Amino acid sequence: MKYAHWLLACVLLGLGLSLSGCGTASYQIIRPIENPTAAPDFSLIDQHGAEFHLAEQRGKIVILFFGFTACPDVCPLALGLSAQARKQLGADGDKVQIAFVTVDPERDNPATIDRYVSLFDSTILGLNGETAAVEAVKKEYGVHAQRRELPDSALQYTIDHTAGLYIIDQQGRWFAMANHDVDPTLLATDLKTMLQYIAVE
Amino acid sequence: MKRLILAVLLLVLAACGSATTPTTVLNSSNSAANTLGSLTIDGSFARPAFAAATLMQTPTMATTPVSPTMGGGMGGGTMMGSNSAAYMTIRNTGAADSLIAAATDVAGKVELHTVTADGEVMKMEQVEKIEVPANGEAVLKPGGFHIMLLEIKQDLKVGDTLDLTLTFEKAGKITVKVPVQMPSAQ
Ligand SMILES: [Cu+2]
Repeated sequence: MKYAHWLLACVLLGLGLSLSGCGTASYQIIRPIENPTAAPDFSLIDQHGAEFHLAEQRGKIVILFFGFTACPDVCPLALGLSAQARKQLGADGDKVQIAFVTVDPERDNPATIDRYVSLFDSTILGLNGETAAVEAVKKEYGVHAQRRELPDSALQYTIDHTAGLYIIDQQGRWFAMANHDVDPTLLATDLKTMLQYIAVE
Repeated sequence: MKRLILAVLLLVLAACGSATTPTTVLNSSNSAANTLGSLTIDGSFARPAFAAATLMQTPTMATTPVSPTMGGGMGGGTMMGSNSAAYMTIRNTGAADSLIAAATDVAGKVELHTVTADGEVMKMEQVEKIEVPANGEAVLKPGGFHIMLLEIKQDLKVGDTLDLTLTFEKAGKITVKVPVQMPSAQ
């Protein structure tokens, strides 16, 4: 039964590939944006104190995620799964930069951000900046983050926030979105496809 | 005929240099099952975290530019460690019960939480209990119910194991061994 399905899938895929003349990429899990345009540029400070300028990442795929280090559950998942996908790329992992922008600049600082991202992958850059700068980036990317008090919890407060992965391609375009609970193997496959099909100038 | 189609497809695929392999996702839980009355706890794991104490020794602090409006924690004061969360499936072959508390030596505070999606926005809420329905199960997983470990006292690294004591309304207490693992979507 399953085999028959796979066979059918293969036939359809093969037809699709041959019809499209091998020129179009298809993606398994990321959601490409139609006619992608330049991702809003920004400049923030990473956990090592260096400036992170998005435009300077051109040539690499950037996976951008907004979260906070006290984030209970969703942020670790997003970062952990992205890191696993990057690892699966082997040497090509160098062509993927995962960046985490804090939406809790009050509680997060370079030291906590450093320790936090290192739990998943020490190459992840944890970005922070002046509150106004962070706010501007959040606005440009349509990130909603709302502080909510938790009077009965030791957390004191949490930040409700949108939890998608922003995938910026090698040309600096806002290329696709993915869910925070994306399957890492499928994400790796899609990143591979991007590396293969998107030209670097 | 089928073979011919396959051969052609292989050629097409090879010519395109496109590798499309079917993927299977395995649930890689390796913790032992634990039983308390009609309850069985399995597939448990906790995610890695770092302790507040070791944070003080991080060298990056000294070299990082400090700005009054950037990172309130930088001006000194108390340093928070990170949080962890424990996940598991609680199966029940008997009458309804509820997980009402949990405790572990590695965390100063343990709370029961859930995450709900409000459109695109993910919200975390504290809950008083997690119900385990009669002849059913409660699934604690990333993006849903979880046991939140706060005020972590020692670094939790992949491969470590922590003892977690669960308290159920009716069945009472059980201590389970929870391995530290990278979070997975399963
Ligand atoms: Cu939580």
